Amino acid sequence: MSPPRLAIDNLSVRIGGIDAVRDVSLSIAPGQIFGVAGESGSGKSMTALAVMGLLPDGALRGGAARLDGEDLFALDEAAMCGVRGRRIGMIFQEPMTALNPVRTIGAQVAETLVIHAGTSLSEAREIAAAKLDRVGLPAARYGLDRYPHELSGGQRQRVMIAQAIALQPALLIADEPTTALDVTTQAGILDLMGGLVEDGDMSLMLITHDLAVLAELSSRIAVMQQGLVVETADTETLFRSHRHAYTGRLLAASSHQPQRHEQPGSPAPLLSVEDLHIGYRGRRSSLFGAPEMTEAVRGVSFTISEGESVGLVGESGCGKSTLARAILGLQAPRAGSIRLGEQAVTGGAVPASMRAAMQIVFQDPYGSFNPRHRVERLVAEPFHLLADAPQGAARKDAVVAALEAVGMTAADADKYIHEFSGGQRQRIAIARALVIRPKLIILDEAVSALDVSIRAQILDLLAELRDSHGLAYLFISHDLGVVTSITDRVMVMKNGEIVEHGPTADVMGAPAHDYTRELVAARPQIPPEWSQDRKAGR
Amino acid sequence: MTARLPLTLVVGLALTAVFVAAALLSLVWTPHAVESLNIAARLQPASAEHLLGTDHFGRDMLSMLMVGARTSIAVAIVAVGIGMALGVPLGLLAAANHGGVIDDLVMRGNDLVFAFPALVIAILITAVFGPSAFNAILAIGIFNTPVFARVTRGGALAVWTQEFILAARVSGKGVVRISLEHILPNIASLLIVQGTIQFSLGILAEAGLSYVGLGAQPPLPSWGRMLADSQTMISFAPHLAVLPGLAIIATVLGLNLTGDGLRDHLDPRLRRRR
Amino acid sequence: MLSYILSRLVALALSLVVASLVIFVMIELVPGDPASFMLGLNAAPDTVAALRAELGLGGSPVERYLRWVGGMLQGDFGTSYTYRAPVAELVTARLAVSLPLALMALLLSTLIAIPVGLYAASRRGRPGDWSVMGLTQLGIAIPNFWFAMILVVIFAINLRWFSAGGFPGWDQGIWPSLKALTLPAVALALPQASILARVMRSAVLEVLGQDYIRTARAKGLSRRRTLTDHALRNALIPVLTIIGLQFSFLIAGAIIIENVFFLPGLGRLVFQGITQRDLIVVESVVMLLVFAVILVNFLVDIAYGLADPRLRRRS
Repeated sequence: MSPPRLAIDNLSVRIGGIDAVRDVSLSIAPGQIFGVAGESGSGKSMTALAVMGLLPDGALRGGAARLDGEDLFALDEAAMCGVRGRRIGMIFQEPMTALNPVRTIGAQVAETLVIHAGTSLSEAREIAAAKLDRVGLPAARYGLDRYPHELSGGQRQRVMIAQAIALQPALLIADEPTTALDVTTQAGILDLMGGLVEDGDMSLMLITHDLAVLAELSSRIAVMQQGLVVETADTETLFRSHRHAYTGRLLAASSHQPQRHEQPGSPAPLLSVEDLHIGYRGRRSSLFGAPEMTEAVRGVSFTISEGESVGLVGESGCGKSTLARAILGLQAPRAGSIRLGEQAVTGGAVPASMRAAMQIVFQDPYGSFNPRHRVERLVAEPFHLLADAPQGAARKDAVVAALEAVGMTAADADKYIHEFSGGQRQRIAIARALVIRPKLIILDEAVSALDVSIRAQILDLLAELRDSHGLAYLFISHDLGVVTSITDRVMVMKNGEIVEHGPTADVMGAPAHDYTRELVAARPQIPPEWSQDRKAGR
Repeated sequence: MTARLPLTLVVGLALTAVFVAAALLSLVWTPHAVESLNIAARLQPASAEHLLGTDHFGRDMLSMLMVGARTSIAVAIVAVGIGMALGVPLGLLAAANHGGVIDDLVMRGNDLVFAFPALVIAILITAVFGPSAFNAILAIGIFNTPVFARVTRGGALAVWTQEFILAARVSGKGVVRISLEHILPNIASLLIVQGTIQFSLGILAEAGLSYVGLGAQPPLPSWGRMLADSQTMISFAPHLAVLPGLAIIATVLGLNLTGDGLRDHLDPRLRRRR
Repeated sequence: MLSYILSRLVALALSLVVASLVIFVMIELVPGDPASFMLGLNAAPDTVAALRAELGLGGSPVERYLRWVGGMLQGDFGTSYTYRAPVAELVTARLAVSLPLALMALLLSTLIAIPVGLYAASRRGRPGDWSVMGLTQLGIAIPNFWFAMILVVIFAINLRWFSAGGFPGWDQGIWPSLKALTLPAVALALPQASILARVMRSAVLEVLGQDYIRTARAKGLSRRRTLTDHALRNALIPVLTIIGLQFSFLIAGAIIIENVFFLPGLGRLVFQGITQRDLIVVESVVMLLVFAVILVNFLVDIAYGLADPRLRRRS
């Protein structure tokens, strides 16, 4: 066996009195794609930053990291500057902010070449053009003189990759490189990274929370939990016969299917939307010109029956959130009608009397509560919609009942929101939606920000509540997997239109529309036979 | 909260408290009456009788400084009050109407007032109505308004993008109710910090205006006027210039340290990390 | 970029129109009419009538406003009643003192503040940073006119390096004039430099926390090069705004400081105008000051567009 490209021995990182990484050892072979998996706080990013020598100020580092046999931790800062960018390239999660906004993309790619190889500026620009071409940004279409804000997220991530591989480093570290991207964009970036490894003998250390991504790309995986590597194995082995219980929980959670019961009979329609058009006023093109109108939703029609769970899938900017806002009366549609039970509204904002039957749960468990109010007041807020809202003790009872329905306790009503974890906050958000007994809850990316194990618990809770409260859901998400696990029917949205619509199993199993096919194909998947083995082996 | 107060906050509050206390005390008692002129006892050095000496009319410097503190602090506080009373509602309104006509109008109005420094406003008012301490208050108050409007709008816009505002809207709450119930409490600390900063700027501005004769008029003692009066005697009685200057510096320093300390103490981002 | 400049130009013109309206309306608020206000209560009726004719007070307010603005556009600011001279001439002469003073102070404070702020940011949390923060905290608290008086005591009265006041005039040579403006400019600049240095420090620290700084470090740039090549330009964007805002403080400060040094600048002109109730002078000087502030903010906006490509929309 060839000597390892990167060998991490007994790495430990201590930040602010907390052991972020404990005794981590792993070894990456030349030309290997090595996956590091784990939930947030598992120490996977800190491991990468420790190798790069870019830990936050005040962090303590122990152990060793050898790149082609040379101990990186023995190098001084000046020597490490010579390693970073030349022998190890690194790309990060957030492409929107990872590039300097005031310098052109050409200059930023060329910079790597100039500082390390002393290449002349004109030569560096030529190589930069070639590298950008390699990552799928041909200079003819995406000139070197573009600024980052003129590119999309996926394109910016390609620029990041171009500058990381400009000097053909021995190792590329990618920290959640596709987490912030849409699924079709993600597929392109993953393809690109796989191709780059095949180009030469570069190794790739791919850090992600998404096991499916690793199943497709990596040949070996280390699973991290609370700063420790709990299991390292070849990819297929890991999926087929993992040894550590945490790996098992992670795998189970990522393909979690909540228990669902069929709804009896053919229920009455609850919400119907007909030929809805929603527009946004854009910025004025000139000082005195009329503002341009952007149509975010174009002629959407659908129905949700009582107690039904319907998914709405689409990539960022497709209009799915705008549609939700119009249904909730936050935005007046330009045309079309919205009917809820007996009441209907055509071509105007949905009135408060209709809204009491609908509530919403948002994505961000941290931003969706006023930090200055107690939980009781936060959960009671939707009572504002009722003319005869309960007061005093009755109000408190209703809040407590809602909290208990989502697995919280009466004592939690007196606390402030910062005292809760992300998963608990999402439960409280569901309690807030539940408190006025709505018939429909819109879940707008409601589990997207949660770690897989927490996500599985919330999905179970939603399935339970649906049965116990007779709720209908409109489940909005970019994540096909989650939608598949919890909905009866699914709608696929693109550019403001619903392009495909049908029972979830049919749409996901045999997509009819090109775009749905593209979405389903782009979604990274753990080969089903691997998990069948796992189930059989249990 | 049992968190330790930052050192800057403690020092700042202490300095500020000294001068506020001196100003309040001057309402009921000063070592000597500031109206009593005693030419025979002019320009005396510090003594047991006059702790900080006397000025060119034989008035007790300590008493003058105490009454001067009252003038400065009163002018600055009222001017902050005017700025907040006008600026905060305008800022809330602009943020609620983000991108709309009202927002545009408020922001353009802001830019316009920014083009009139407090001194220029004072010049205009004085040219027309004659000089007085009231003019100084008005000029500084007008000058404060766009500052508070801008800070309020900026803070409010950041809060408006939070999902809990959407949640409140889903609950059927209107713009006014959301502004008062959700926005204002979340930008209160921002406004308190800005208030202390404008307070200290007000003290400086009042001193400047009184120095050039556009603010407090004789016989009302004010730090700026004391400096103006001392100027011709600076070569042989420097204490007349040094003492009011140090009083201004200490008060402004106290307020600025308080503002900085409050910012560190109240900033929830910093608090969460603790 | 061109459309950006054009839109800023339109905003500039609009601000000037509204500002002139505000000033005009204020002056219109004078009790009685300006002529009797200027001459006082004891003036003979025919003197008042003569002045009224001279001031062009006939006609409706709209006509008077248009005549005033029209005159200014042609460089005619009216005639000073007390000086018996065209205001334009008076203002030009005084501007030759005030403008260089404000510019010297602006230059000085920027040249001090940017390196000092950068230094403090690069030494964050260490003694170098603390001392800068402490000194600037003090600098902000010092009234510039008091600082000027102290400078006079030290450098003019005791050390005799500079004269205590007065201005020789540019026709006496550039150096004597610059020397006469040095102490006032230093007095004006130091408190402003303190504010600017703090803004610079926090802007740099803010930028250093951004993702693209981590990217630059991951590319192999040293801390120092990251600071100069990536942080500096981004940090200068907020600093530019503050420089623009500070200009109005500098103008106000210059007017006050001219009193300390007995400089024959706009400040002296306007204060004499106030005491002698010469409204024409006051009105013109105020308009000029406001114009200067608006113009500087326009220039800052343009610089902003140059520094931040996100503002230059491709149309």
